[in-house]
Amino acid sequence: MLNMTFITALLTASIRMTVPILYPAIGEAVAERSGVMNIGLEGQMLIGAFVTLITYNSTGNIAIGIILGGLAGAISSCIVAFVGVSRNQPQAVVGFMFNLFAAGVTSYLYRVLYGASGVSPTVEMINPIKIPLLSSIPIVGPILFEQDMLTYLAFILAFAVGFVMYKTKFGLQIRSLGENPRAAQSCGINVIRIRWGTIAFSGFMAGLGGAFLTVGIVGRFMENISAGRGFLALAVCILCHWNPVYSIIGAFGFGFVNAFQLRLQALGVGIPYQLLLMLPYVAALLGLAFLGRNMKGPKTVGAVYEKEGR
Amino acid sequence: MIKGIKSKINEELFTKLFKFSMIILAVIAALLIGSVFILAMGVSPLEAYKQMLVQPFLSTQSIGEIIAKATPLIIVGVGVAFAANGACNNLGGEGQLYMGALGTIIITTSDWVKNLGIVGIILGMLAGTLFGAIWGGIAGYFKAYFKSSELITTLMLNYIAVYIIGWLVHGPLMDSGGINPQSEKIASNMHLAKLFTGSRAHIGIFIALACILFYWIVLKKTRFGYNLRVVGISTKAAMYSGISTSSYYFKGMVIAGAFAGLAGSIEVFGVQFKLIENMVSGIGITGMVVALLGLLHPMGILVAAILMSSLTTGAEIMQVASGVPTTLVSILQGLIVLFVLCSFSIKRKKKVKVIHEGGV
Repeated sequence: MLNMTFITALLTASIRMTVPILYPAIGEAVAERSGVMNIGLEGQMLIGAFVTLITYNSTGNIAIGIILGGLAGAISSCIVAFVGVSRNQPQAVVGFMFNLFAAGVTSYLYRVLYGASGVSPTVEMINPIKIPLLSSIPIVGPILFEQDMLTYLAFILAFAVGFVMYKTKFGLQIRSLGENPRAAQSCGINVIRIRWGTIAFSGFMAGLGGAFLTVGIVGRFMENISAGRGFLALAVCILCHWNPVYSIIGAFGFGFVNAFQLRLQALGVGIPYQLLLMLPYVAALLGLAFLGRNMKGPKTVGAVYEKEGR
Repeated sequence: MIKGIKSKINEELFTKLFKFSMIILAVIAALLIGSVFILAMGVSPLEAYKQMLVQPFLSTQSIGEIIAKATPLIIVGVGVAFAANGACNNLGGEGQLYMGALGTIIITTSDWVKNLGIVGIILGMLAGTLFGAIWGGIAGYFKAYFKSSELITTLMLNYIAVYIIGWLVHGPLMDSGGINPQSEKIASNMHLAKLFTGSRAHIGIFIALACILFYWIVLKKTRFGYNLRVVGISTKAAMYSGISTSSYYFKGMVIAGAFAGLAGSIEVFGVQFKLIENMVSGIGITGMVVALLGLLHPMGILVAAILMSSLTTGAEIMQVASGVPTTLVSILQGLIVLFVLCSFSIKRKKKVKVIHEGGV
């Protein structure tokens, strides 16, 4: 069982399963650093995945599907931004209700368009791209450098966003909103506008994650296709210290567990598959319980911000 | 002095009326947006809403269905409201319901309880409540003593519970006599009595009403309820007055879990009689909606639960009659709460005395 082919296949699959958690986790890290919580990731993933499907079905082009999937995530997240930021309502409740709404909308429209039980249309899967030279490195090459464009993009974005957040003035401004929005406002930073921006960004990332589920993992759309990945991304965000770059490690951890349980299922190991499916959630729960304590996150996450209060 | 009190009462009455009318407006607005979705289906919204909103109240069977569906919603809603009063968002109703149902099934199908009848019901409900309380308590304990956000831990616990149930009904607890993935059925002398024949409504609704009464008494008439509300309103105030916030977070979540577990237990005794996958799907989330729409008020929870259960019942009638998918209800629920939240941020302008001189 533990031969080289198995390990290579396992790690390649792990990387692929990392991506749909990594995208929303990066977005959430930015949003929470700016002091807002976007619990609606799960719903934005569903919307992204669904829009990718219908765009592919009408245009036959995956690239447009992916882009529109991301944009749909961003646009739908404006609901969260409007109620949670502009209207100052508890962001946890807003995000949770958004998830309910998004799950309803996607499964409703899916049933309207494709029928309740009918065979769902498939989507062309995204093609892997071999990076010349690098992909010929033994072992590491096929695992890291024979992935598809969206996978590369996820890792590049993690570093790029990390750079913006920690090495630029703009990133400092965003982070300052999470620590002391009023001080930031007195420096002339528009708190509300930047928070709208970070929520829209996290929605965009969640939408891309959803799009990847459709074109990179499942090859079609199913109701509740995200299956809790948006929530795992929330856990990754906290466990990886609200840092986009560290999120790679956390997301890979969950991706690995996920890929591992799929392999075990395929091999027919005598463990019930439900217990294997449970693993990522148990890992997240214990991680939050025993590592979360010492995490010093952004101070004002989820707090109500009143422009003219004290 | 008297005038001041009078105006204060008017003020409170006004806010209540304002909130109530905002909820009505939110429902109407959500229904209007929902009609766009119905139109996408090629069905007349008026026709569909007639089936959804009027039809359920026209036959005893569907009225019974509304009562049957409202029963667990009320109980879960009360639990969520308890936690919310203590500043905890219990998103884990789903998992706690499943665990409650599991505890009930384990006790009631065991050899020495099987034939106990009413005593078995009581033991089963206690076990369900205990299991739910443990499941809620895990999240509460982690929040109180490890500072991990209950928002995420309860969501994780939901998934864990769903998979545990999935494993058990396919494996250890699977009825040896059947082929379906479900547990052994409970003995028929342990079924809750029906309210009236020809519907699924059962006497569990009285337990639900008792829960509401319990909620009101504990919250308004006991020291525990008072302290819980203080923690919910201001952690600082609680700390200054010597109330341990973390212990109240924990207690709030345990109570929320206990109620959800009881609801799961009553679902087993009143409706399902066995443990299956997806048996409570949606009740946990809708219970949250009920608590929010009911503004954490005892009567509000009752009314919101009936509203939600009649929407669900009506949606089933509508799906059969005109083919509009029942998931329309999720869209409506989400929209209603979001609209209500939006409207509450509209505050009446108060006259503010402008101080020209000196500090604030």
